[in-house]
Amino acid sequence: MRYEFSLVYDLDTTVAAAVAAYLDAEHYCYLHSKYSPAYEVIEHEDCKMLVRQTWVLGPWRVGQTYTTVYEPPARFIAFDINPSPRWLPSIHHLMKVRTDLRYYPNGSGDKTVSHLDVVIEIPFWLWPLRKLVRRRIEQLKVEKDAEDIEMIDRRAAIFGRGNIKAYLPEHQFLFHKDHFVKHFGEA
Amino acid sequence: MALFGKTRESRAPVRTIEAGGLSDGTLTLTLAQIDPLAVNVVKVDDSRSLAIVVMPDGAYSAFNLQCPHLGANLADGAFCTKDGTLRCPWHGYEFELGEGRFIRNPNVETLAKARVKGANFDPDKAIDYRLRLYPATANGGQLVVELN
Repeated sequence: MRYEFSLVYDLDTTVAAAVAAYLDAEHYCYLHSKYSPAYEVIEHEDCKMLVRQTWVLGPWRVGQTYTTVYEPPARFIAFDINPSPRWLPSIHHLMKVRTDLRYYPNGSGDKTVSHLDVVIEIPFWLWPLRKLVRRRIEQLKVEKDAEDIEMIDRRAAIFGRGNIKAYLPEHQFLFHKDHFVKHFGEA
Repeated sequence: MALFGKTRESRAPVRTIEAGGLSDGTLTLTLAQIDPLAVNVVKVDDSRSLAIVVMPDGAYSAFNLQCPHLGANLADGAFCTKDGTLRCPWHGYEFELGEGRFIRNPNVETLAKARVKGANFDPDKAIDYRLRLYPATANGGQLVVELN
């Protein structure tokens, strides 16, 4: 059965700064260590990647893999989530989740709309749990955004609102950086 | 600030010290004010804070709390008392506190597959971030930190 929902709210920053924070993968394991203590790129082909996130659970290291696709300038799709190792008991054996996140300027152009569409394919006997899954996904999104906004706000206070120059030097890594610079390099 | 190294997961205390002895760009503290097992944060004025730690060899290191990479507050980072290094809370970049040199980006291995050379990124380009250090000298039960 198919369950869809959206989560839409404003982020108090520019689209360029929001996209830069998203593509700045080096902060995932540190600023977001509570959610992604280990994050590894397994396969990479242009704007498509297979990544693995892992957590230490007692003596075991467990996690999940998923595919992400970046559609420049500001769209991020994630799907095909599987437990890692594959035999690990997981809800991802039972349901499929696809997330589609877009950033775009709000009506007045001073903030960024974070627009997340989620599609869940779920067996009928898990249908009663769909809202629980939804709440968990929404909670994760809001909490991670709050951490990112704290970083963005601090940077804005130091370097100026929307200033992304620190991401542009050749030594600074961003996912899909050439696409980012093409679209936001002059921002 | 958290400790890492031998006691990686334990939390090191962050102590705040009142900057009472500030004159002519020099900050003077008594050594008794400084906890050798903590990160001692001194608020110099509204726009500037610094941290003082005791290094493994007993020397004092005083440094600006703004990460030179992207501006994180290093008071939220992880200080290793064993080797006198600091890890940034945002990106995990590591600095040694004797000279403030950048020493390691821990993401290089985990993101290796995506770190491909492009028109705007060169994985072989050296990183040259450096913490801003303030000369700190212990003398007669006092620590003198030169801020200018």
